[in-house]
Amino acid sequence: MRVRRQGRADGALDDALAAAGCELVDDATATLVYVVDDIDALDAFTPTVAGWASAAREAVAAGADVVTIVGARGFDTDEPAPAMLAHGMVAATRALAFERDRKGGRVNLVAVGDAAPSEVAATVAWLLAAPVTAETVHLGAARHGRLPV
Amino acid sequence: MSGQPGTPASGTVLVTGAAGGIGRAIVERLDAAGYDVVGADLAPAVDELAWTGERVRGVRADITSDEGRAAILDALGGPVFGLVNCAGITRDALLPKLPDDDLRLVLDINAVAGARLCEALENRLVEGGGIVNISSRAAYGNPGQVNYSASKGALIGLTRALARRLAPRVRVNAVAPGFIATEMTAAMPDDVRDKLVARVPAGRMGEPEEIAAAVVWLLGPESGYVTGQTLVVCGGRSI
Repeated sequence: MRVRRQGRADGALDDALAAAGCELVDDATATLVYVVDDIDALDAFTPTVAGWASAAREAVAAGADVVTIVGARGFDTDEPAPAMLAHGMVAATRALAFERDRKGGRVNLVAVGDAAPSEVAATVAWLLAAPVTAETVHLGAARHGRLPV
Repeated sequence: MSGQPGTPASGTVLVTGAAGGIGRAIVERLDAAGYDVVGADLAPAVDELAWTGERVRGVRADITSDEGRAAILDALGGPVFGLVNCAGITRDALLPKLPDDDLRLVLDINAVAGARLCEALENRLVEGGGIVNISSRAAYGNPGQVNYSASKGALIGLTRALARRLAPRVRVNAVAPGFIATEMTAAMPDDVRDKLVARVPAGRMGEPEEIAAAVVWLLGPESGYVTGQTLVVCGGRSI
């Protein structure tokens, strides 16, 4: 499984991806695994989404799949900026998945709460192989009894 | 001020994007319900809003700028009963062909500006008042609309966060319209419009007045136990 890591640097995740059998390469045709920065201020919303979009644009132009990783905090907060980012990334994932569906491309999101890097990496590795697209997988932050996102 | 079921509507409601098809319908419906309405829009057509009712005023202002938001706050004067964030634009393209500027513009206008208005009005909203954010069915995914979908998804997130923050004083909800008959959809080729309508279980486009009715209900006392929710008004398209 060839993976191109972009977004926020996370050495522990990179190590865990390698341990999970992913080969980390600098090649636009490899599946993009993008870690979205956490934000606290509204000023950071647009640049953060635009940063993801720039990487995703290059990936899908090369025919690559996309797995985006976002913090789960934005699904359980009274702070506008992180909530906007988390829900905005869910919507962007669904829209891009819709675009890519005709060509068999897959686009998914992992929302990470209290989960170890090895658990995140295992989920990414599963998504790389599974016939799944447009989904948000919540790790370490149960949402039973809550609105779907 | 409005608050209890059965009490007449009163207080001032700000509607952004008021010169557009849905925005104007919201203004007219709020006016008919008894609210004082300030409609804001960048388009000159907002100047005509005063003709829609005695309690309606129009403000030409850019909600993405500090100056524009200050002009709106000045026009509102004192306490505010409600805010309807309806301003929005589209710049559609598949992501590989979507210019970065168009992506940022849609996010800034549709999502960030609305959040800043909520921030600016937070302390002016009266007890029992409400915010309604106009999201979109596109938040559940539309091809060629990564930017628009992200912006409308962000409004759902904003709605949920503010519903927690402002409870129990102010309720915050969202309406997600589906395929609505506006100037924009009227400009579509007939065959494109027909294909889109064919996917709607209701068998037709929605009318702006149907979105306005949902907004007025969410602002009013009959929905007093509803907050943090997104009401999808799409003729069943999202099923």
